Amino acid sequence: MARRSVRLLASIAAVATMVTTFAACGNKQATTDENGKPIVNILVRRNVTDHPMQDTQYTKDLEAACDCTIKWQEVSDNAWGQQKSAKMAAGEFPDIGLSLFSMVDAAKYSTYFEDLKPHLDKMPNVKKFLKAQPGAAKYVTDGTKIAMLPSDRGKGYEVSGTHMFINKTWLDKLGLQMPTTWDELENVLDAFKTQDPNGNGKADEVPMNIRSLGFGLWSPLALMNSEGVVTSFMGGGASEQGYYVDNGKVKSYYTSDALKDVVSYLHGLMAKGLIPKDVLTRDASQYTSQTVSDGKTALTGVSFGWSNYAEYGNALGDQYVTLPPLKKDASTPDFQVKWDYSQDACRWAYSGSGLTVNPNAANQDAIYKVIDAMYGEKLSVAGFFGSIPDIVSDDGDHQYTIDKAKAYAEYPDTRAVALQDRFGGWIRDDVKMVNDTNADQVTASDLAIREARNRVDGVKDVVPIYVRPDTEDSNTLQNNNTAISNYANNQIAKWVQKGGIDKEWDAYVKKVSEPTLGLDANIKIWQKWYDKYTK
Amino acid sequence: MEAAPDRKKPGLLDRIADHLRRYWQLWILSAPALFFVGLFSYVPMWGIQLAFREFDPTKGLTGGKFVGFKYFLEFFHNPLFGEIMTNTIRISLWTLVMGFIFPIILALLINQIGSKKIKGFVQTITYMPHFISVVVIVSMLNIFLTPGTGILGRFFGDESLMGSTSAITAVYWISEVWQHVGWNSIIYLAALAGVNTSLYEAAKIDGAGRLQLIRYVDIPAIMPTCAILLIMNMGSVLNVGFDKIYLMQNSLNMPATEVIATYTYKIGIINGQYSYSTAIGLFNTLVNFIFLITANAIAKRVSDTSIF
Repeated sequence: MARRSVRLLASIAAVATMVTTFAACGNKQATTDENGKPIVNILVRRNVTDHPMQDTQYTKDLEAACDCTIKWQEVSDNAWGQQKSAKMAAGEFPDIGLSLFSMVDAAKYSTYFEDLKPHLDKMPNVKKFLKAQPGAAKYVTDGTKIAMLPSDRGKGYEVSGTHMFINKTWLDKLGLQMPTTWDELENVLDAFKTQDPNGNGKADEVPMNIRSLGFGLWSPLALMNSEGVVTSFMGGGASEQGYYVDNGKVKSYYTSDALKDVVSYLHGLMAKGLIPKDVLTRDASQYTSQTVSDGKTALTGVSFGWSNYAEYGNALGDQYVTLPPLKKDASTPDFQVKWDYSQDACRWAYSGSGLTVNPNAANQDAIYKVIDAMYGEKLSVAGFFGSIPDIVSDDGDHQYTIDKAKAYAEYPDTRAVALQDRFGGWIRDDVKMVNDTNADQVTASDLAIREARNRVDGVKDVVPIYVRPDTEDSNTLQNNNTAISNYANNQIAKWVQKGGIDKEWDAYVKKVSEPTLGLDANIKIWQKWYDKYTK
Repeated sequence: MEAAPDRKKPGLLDRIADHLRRYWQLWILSAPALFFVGLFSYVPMWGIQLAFREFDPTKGLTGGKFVGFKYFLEFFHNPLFGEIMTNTIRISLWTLVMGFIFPIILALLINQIGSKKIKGFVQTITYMPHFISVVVIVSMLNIFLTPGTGILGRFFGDESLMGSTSAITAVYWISEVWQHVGWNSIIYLAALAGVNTSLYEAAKIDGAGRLQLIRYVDIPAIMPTCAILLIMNMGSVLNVGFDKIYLMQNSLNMPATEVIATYTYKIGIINGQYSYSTAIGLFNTLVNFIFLITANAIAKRVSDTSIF
């Protein structure tokens, strides 16, 4: 009898757990807290999620401004990449999303993105921002709608995302000049390889290091700018899919002579052992061990990255300077040499994403109060760099000073203590930041390329970031790009590794232009939308 | 059940009621399993219609416009279709065949070991790698095959085999066999342990040597097990394990490593084109199903063993 009741109890318990699990799925979240104040849920993509935003003074200030309770949820970059599509398909959108969705998502799932234009009067700070930065306004205005708000990282971040660095200490030690052409660079790399510039008696120097060969951030294919073919490797736009503009006409890198030249050049370097032969197959961690090294002995001569300190660490960063954009050869005219045009994306389109609002959220009024507070001057600074007064001090007259010891304890920027580049807000041009080392460093890195980048015509040489195909065309572009890149990226990798581009180039161009791969179709699509947005 | 000739044939409901009265304990026993299979295998099939509809996030999974075979045709006309199919079949067939043969050989060999201690030791050592996670395995491959310094890479010139389109299939199935051979041989060892020892004695009296014992006693003994396992493996002939091949991909070996699973992932999860990736997944399942049925029919005819 006793045993029977035990069994019965066990089965009831099992059923009960099952039922509660299912019931939990259907639970509605509360929309007001115990004091009757509205709750606003914010989901943010951060790269450091173990210092929660919930506990910061910034959050308390926002709550005071909106008279509501803010609930933060944080998700890491990697996790978000996996969850994003599924969450969108399931219709799970946070009240406010920070750095989660792009304009393409907003077009595809338009009913889940509130049009913010009618609400601008409730958000005077945002209204002022869009008026002060017409470029940012243009970027997010889709016809008459604004489905996403950009955030402005301030003029300190109006920089190219990609810079090419060279070890100046090594150059000086070997008595070499700063190279200005591809050939000169090759000679310098040769000297780096053979003359032991780091002085440890071992031939362990990596003359030139690369991460990968795509059309993306920090790719050596940025060397195409040496021939006037402009890249804009940031923000997920046309350039990262392989398209650029030549005097108003959309073309593809895939069939450009510039690509052929760069690939031949890189193969030449690899064949001579100036680029490690395993860069395309190795584990990513090996790259860092060669650039940041052990913090004492520099191992890498030349590489591509964000700022010299971000690329080589604080200890070795001093040794490196930005290499001004190279000419292809001595006969290349100055006006043809350009550089990566990604400063708009770096300033207000981090990864092409921004701040979005869910139209089905319960407490709409509170949401707009929160957003307006975020775009105010002080809270913008606090969102990006850290709470005032805990981490950043307000010196008055638009000047703010970051407490280095607190802000940079773990990382060379403020990602641990604030939202950093994933924030929603507006760092005004008249705001002066003291100790913003990340901006100072990347601006310093950027100076050497500014002359070349200023030669780029933001409309005639690249597809501007505000050009956006509609959902159907985006899908076609994506499908075709998958097919093209599967074939072409492999060819490029093969040529860099094993050579043979001269023999195979014509056959490759023919194959990549075949209608089944869809390169021409994609160029037509981009041309159509480019014309629509720029004329 | 045969009804008595003089009684009227009972109706369907009566027969069900009778059946339940007799066997209700068995039904209760299997109810959780039936519920589990039903919920997780049959209910989701409702979503298969997504392959025939244009996915519209505002209308839910089943609300989109009906477009028939549009997404299937899109896949068949995709320039990558041929490449993806050959890669999938090449990699999975190599893995299937080698992963089938080697455990049998290992089991037969281990069975020959006299000492119980050594037998147990060998068995443990060979099935250990089964518990290493795929991520670690692929990292190990990367490190082992590093040109110049890797314990294997040093013999293959200055380029890693991980970047070779011709070698990557071999790298895949050899590492796969190495990892799972011990584990998969356990079931054969169990079958071998069940062989009646009098059979060995009789064969020995008839003058059979060691090889002949294997040929005429061991192999026939494990044959039914082999057939069942082969049929079950055939059911997943197009299922190259996603995680491993995805981790092994790089820009150099891509033409040989893009398989249905990785392509579906890129189209569906990354690009968010659910209808298209559902269509590809459904096509994959259909092919697997056909393989399973065929293998089962062949096995039934040839060796009289089959799963249904």
